Amino acid sequence: MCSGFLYGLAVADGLIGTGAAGRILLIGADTFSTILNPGDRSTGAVFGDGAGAVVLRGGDPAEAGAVRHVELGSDGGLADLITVRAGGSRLRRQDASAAEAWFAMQGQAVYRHAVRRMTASARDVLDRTGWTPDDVDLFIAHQANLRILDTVAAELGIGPDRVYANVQDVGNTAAASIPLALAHAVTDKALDEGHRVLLAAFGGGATWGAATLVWPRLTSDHFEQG
Amino acid sequence: MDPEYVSELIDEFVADLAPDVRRPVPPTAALKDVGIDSLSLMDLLSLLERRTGVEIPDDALPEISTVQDLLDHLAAARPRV
Repeated sequence: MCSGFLYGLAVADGLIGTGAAGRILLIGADTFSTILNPGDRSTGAVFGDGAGAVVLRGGDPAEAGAVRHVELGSDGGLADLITVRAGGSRLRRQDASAAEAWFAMQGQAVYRHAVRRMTASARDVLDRTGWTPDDVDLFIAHQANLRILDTVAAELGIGPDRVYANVQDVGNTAAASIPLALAHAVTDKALDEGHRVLLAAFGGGATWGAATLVWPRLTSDHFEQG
Repeated sequence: MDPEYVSELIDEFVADLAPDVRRPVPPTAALKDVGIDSLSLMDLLSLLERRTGVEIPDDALPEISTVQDLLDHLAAARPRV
């Protein structure tokens, strides 16, 4: 789901920080094509399937590649904003109607909450990192839609030249969207060693988060794109 | 909140979105008739809230169908937190 990569990043960051793991392969992958109602134009045309991954290891917090801070939030009171009602213990798939088996979202409310939560979370994580919006070289948010990205960036005061988007090419790929955008930003030469990167996401639950990191030097051995 | 300033912002927004729509957009105009669909309304609300420093509550959204509705709700809105 849409904030899944940042939740994974927080878990990986914690496991490495406590010494429980030394090196972690963090994969963000979703196949929303399996839960999209082909008759629902508000979702069918928006989402795509995808996968992306990063490798994390322990290191010096000052070195390029360091995850600086991760901030997470959630509000179960907003659970109805984005749903797939069937498929769990409360409503088993065989007992559900066709409509309950599909992904559904309340578009306007999702837009409003996504903008507010991503903006607030991004501000918090910037504060904790000791950065201002001007310090951010590249803002990579969950690729939900271009207008939400642009609005969050405008709220933060991050100019359009520092906002990366690939949603126009791959759609909203949910948990894959941030790692895919990171990969595409590298191939587009928008992201390079030492860049200060701000990540943010909002998704079902409702859940949200933001992270700061400094992009590492990558060689062709580190980087592959399919 | 200055209604004239808000009307200017709405006209600029409509000029970008639907250049063929005649401006100034009259307050009685239905938003859907000047090219503002449900997603564009969210863009416009974000812009207006950012520029005016107030926030329209989410439960007011179903009541907004004309430019005048937008002006009324902005006039009654509370400052953003």
